[in-house]
Amino acid sequence: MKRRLFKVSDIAVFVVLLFLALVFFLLKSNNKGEMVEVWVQGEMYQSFPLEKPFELELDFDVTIKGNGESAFFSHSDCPDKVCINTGKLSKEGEWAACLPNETVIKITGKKKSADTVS
Amino acid sequence: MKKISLFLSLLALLFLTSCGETRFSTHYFNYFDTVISVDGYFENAEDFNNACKIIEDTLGYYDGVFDIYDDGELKKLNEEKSLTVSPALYDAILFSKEVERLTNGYCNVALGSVLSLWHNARESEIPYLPSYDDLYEKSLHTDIEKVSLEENFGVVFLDENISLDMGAIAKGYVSDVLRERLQESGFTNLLINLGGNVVVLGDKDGDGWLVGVQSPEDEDGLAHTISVKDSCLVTSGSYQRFFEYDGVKYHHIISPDTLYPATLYSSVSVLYENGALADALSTALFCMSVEEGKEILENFDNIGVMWVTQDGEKIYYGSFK
Repeated sequence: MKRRLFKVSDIAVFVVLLFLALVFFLLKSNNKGEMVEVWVQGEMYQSFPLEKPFELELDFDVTIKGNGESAFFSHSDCPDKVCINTGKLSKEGEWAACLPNETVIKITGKKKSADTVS
Repeated sequence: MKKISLFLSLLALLFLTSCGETRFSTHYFNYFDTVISVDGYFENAEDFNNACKIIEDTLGYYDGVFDIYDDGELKKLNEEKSLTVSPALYDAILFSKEVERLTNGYCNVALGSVLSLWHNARESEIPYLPSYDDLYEKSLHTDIEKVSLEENFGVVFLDENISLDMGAIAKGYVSDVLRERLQESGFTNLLINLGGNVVVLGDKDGDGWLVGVQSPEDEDGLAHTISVKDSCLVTSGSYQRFFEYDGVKYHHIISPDTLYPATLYSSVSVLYENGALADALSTALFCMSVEEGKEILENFDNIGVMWVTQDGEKIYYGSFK
């Protein structure tokens, strides 16, 4: 009698694993581009792909914009405007903060750039 | 069967080592008038929260020690001129005296009264410049030797007009305390960025944590990126805090020579194991020529520095590559 190398159940497990690996791979590769993360009071509030223009108006009178290449604070009611003066962010690890409004935007996601900026 | 279970356990080990430590990060806004970020690998959320508790407790305590504008202990000392202080403040003042000697007086926490004139101008709604006469008058009361450390944590100002401002070393000093406390509790792979004062524990995935230095002339860019393992990177930059008057930018690093913002560089970054000294040196080096700076740096082993000049030229020293 010819002995089969694999049982049907083995093949099923193999297929499921392969499928999971594929899903994992796709999820990871989708995240390759840089993201703009908006953090409010220490919590991640929203994130946007850097390459797509966006405009986010927060209800405490702060506006954050992306123009497809960079992201920045475009408006804030804070007195010092340090957040706006920080300018445009485009590389991973760069960030800008509005202290009075406890809001941070930072660029994350692409490999081979900085974990943080001094 | 044995082979299969061996294979499975090897697989599990592989899975654990790659996924066992999860990356967590958070920010704090309420300490040292800056944004503080934490980023690291932890076994689980509980571990991360435990680390955060240590961090926040430490930040809160030391902010209350060094603060001179709200109701910090140092503010009280500046007002009373003679006070029994906490061991933490006593130790920091002792260290500051050492720093003043090591930097030939270019990092001097006794410059407080000069710095406060600039602080007030920077914070003012209507822009103005402090008058030179006022600055000069205050500069006559900046001798740290006139701050006397007594027994049992007593501190006495022998010059009544002296005022201490720990701004040039406070964040670096706290970063060293944070590192010590986190290591004691077994946290070994994270970084904390206290508004440009970066302290790194561990080596991330073996290659080190990548720390960028902001490009002064191009706000979108990084002047440099460097891999840091178990060390501190501190940058003093003219772009960090400034105000404009008559179209001219006046930043926050005041030269003890001119009593005005130092103009030699856009930024100076120091890579050194001791965060407090790295912080102090980045301020001191900002106010002196590269040659003078290198003379001072000869007293330190395994230190790295990058000067970025006003023209965007980068000058490297030691381990900074």
